[in-house]
Amino acid sequence: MHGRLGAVFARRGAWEVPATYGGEDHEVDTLRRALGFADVSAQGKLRLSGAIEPLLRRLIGEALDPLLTASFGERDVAARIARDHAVVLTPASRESEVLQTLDTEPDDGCLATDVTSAMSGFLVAGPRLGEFLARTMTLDPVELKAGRCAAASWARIPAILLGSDLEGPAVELYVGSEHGRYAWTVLTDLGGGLGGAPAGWAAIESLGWRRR
Amino acid sequence: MSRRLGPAAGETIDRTQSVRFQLDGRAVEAYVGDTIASAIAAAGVVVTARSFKYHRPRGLFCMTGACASCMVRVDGVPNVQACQTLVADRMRVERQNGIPSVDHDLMRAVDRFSIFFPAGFYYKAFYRPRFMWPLVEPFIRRAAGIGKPPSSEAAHRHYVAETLHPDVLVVGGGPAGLGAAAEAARAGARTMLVESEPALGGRLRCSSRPVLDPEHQKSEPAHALAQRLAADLDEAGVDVRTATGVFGIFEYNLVAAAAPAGLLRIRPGQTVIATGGLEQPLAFGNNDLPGVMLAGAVERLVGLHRVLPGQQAIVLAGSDRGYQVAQTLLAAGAVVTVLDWRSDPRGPEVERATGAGAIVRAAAIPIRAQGGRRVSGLVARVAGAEQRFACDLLVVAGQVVPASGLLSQAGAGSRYDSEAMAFMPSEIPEGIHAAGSVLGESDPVRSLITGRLAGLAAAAAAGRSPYASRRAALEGLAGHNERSQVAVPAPPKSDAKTFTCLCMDVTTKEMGQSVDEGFDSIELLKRYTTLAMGPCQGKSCLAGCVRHAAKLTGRTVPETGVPTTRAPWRPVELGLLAADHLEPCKESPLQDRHIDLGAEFIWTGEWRRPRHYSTPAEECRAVHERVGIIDVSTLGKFRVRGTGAVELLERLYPNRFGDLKVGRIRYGAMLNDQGVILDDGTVGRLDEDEFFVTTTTSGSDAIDQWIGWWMADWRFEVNAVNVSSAYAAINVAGPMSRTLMSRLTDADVSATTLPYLKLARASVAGVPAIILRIGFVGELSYEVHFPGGYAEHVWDSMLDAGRDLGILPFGLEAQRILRLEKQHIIVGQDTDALSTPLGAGLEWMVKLDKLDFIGRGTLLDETGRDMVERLVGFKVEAGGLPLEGAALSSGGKPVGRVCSSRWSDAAGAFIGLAWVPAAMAGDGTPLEFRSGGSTIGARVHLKPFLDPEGARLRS
Repeated sequence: MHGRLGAVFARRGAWEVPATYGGEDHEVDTLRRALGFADVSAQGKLRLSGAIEPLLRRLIGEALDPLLTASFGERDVAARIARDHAVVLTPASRESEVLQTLDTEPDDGCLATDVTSAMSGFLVAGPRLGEFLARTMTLDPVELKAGRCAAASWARIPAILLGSDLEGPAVELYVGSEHGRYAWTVLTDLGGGLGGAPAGWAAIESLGWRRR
Repeated sequence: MSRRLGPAAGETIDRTQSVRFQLDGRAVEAYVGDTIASAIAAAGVVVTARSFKYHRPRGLFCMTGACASCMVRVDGVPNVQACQTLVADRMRVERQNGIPSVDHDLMRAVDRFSIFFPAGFYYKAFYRPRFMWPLVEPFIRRAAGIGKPPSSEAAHRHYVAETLHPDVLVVGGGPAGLGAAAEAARAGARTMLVESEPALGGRLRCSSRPVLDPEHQKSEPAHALAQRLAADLDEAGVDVRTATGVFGIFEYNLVAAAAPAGLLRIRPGQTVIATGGLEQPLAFGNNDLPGVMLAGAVERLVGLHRVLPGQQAIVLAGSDRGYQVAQTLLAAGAVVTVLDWRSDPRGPEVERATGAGAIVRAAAIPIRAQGGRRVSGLVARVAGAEQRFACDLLVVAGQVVPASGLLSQAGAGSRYDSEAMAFMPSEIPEGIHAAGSVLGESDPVRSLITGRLAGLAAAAAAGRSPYASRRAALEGLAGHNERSQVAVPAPPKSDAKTFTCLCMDVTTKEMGQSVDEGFDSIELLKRYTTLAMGPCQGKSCLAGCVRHAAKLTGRTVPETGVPTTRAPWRPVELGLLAADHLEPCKESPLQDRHIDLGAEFIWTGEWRRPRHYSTPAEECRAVHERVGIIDVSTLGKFRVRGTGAVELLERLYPNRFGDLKVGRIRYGAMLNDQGVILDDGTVGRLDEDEFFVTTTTSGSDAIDQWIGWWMADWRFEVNAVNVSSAYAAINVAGPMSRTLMSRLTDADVSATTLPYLKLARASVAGVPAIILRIGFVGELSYEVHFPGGYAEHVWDSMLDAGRDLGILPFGLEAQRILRLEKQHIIVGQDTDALSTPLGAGLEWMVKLDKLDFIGRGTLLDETGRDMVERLVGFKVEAGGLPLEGAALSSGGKPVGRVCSSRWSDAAGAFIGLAWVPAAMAGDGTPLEFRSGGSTIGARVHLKPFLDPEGARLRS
């Protein structure tokens, strides 16, 4: 789909990611002026389920309450979606390394699974983010300030949302990969209707997206 | 005759900018800021529509969106309220309900023959003889209703749905709403205000009478105060949505509003209802004639749009309000006579009106209006004698009642206030606040102050902390509500139709007939006559209807009561209710490849999957003779890991898994408590404590929940993770599939090392994968599961490596034919809510000697009993393809059904699976299907149609 939008690809780990869709400056401008959305599916994603409390404490160095996110390591983020469910996000292709450090055993009561391929991820940012979210979900966007996370229905599909920051409010959106194309269609259709446009990794990285 | 007046302060039209629109194909000029209604009036058009039932001419009546008299078709959209819609350049406006036109309506004859249309006539007429109804129904349907369906262009309009979460929502942009919103926002609450009209201010904005805002101690024209209050909202940061009408309040304070762009679903913390009051018409003969208007309509036309709707006006009054509108008309140059039904009207407003030139007649009761397409006079009883008054405008300044419909929907009660002579909201529920005329306030300044208090209360309830001193100061200003009592004259006896409900053309006479027929409660009366069931939902008629019902039944008004208010409170487009156009769709990570290959897609549940790429027959041939690949990424996939994994699977399946060796695979089906097949798939043992479980595509989500449900109950030491989305999967099938696989992997895929029902973990095209030797399509095949991110790479590699082998991708249709040739079932297609493994030919998997599994009890009961029906294969011997769902007939009765059927080139026949009575399930038993009106002869075929011994599968 990115190829059809004229994407120029770049390598991030083992992934080819859309670096730009023809003009980084224009994409940065769209992100600042209206709404930009980037496919960040290449990030590593690990799902922690079960008795995750001790594992999260070991990773972050302190307790992480449900519905909050925390950074750890160099560029990794943990998002505790529920009491027994968390997602760890890593830079592209670093998920195996992080998974090894988790070193869970079957009798830990906690299971860490690499779900990198199971989830598509998108970063959505810009001044019209609130309007976009209002058109796609029933959750109050206030619940998605930077540092917060939630599992909610987005565009009528299950999603995990992380409040983020990209020179202003931003949201990271993760959906099942089977819904990835649908989610991208929603982003381009509804987001496009709000003056939004796809943004490549070059644009979001130049605005300081945390996982470079 | 109406005419445009000269400029005046407070007007909302921009005389420097004109717009040109079409009215019934005729070009009409108007100003920017005109509504369609004001533009029509300024153009001298009096008849705006024909009525619902009697096709009587109707004109502008309320101008507040509270009646159906000005509904027009705009750019193909029917039933647009002309008084609430700003006119735009090149707009196409058509008046409604005239055949062929509103000005020359042939259906007006209905009005003359109304004796044949008594109340509830459609319950009484055309039932006998029975052939009558089908004959007359098309005519009745054509004649009834308001407007026509939207044009195809308008029907495809795209609506947006938004969900919003203000701390405080204020409904209504009149003085109370403006005050509430500003206060709530200043107290720190995220505040939103919605107003159905195109601009804020309510009744303030159409009057230039001086008002005193006690907080500012400054007298200013009402329209100036409205502008100042609206500006306050900007300053306070209120999210203001005009032309946005709330049409319902639902459970948990969900507020639904129709906005220009689409649907707003608002979930406020607190809601302030400031919907104001509703002017009520009076009942007298011909009270629906064009030119009969409510006082508010005249004030809006004159004050906002500078249109004088008539030169010679009669104002029907029973309070100061009539004299105020009389002054407005006099100032605009009209000749005004006030007919006051009180015997001794007096007071400053009366003096001002008479001082300005109004003629006042006391003790005047209107009997009937006169006129054809517009009012030309009024017959009234003045001081006991009938008298005729000539006029071209008849203004009704009657009672104003609370617009409390939304409050009722929110759960508020209603009590009759004998002082105000109206039902007032009571017992307002938590989270809801009300202010202004909706609580019976008649003074706009008091509405403003009580609105401010309501805004403060809402903000406080939303967790903000307004200053206590502010509340005290406002309470000091609020004073006491002095309600003006408006006694309304009873409907006089008149030969002319006297309408109680204008929308639905219900008359006092019809109400009387209905009560005589026994429909004497207000709820029954409403349903029988359809009063208050039209577009206005009782806004412009309910008070009068209740009063008249009380008179007819001999009850008091409080005893009569009011019917329940339900959503929608205002007309709403059906398309808007379906505004969310999002239709989730699941697609494989190989979707782009399928598109590139020219696949034709088919919906299977939420999935869009390739049905075929070339022809199903060609694809089947490739699988039978060479090699084919199919994308099976949609399958459900679970990783079950832990010391309790075996125990979990033993309970979930009727199969045995404790004895499954590492590296082996077993086919299994999950059952529910009744032993009915829920889903099927394979279970492969990856390690002592780890299994790889596959399910059907459609059952994946349900099985995920099913497993989670039982795990929570059983609490085994096990984790089951749904990895369906993480893994792509490709099935490589056909006699040359081994050759292909050996080119893609270093693993030994020979029959010796990797035989049927064995698995291997290996690298395929350089990608870590799990290879399952299973074969749904009946040929030698390998199902390769691997991380979905590599899907396109693996797919491309397979096609490249198999090019010289004649590889073809195949779709679902070929897969369905191939599996049918092997009589492999599809759960859901070949099974239903009663199918157990015993009937479906899967009894071999049921291990009743296990201690327990879900469904065991039921299957134990069934064992030994004669099966009622069985699933069998069949081959057609005479006739065509029996359609799926076709009945199996025996002795002229349906005794079974076809589940699956296809043509098979390999079998050279139409083949299928069918549920048949157990007595007919013997191999070779003749079957007779009834399909599409023809009889098809077939014979039971118990073994697979192809490779019955499974040699190819196991090769």
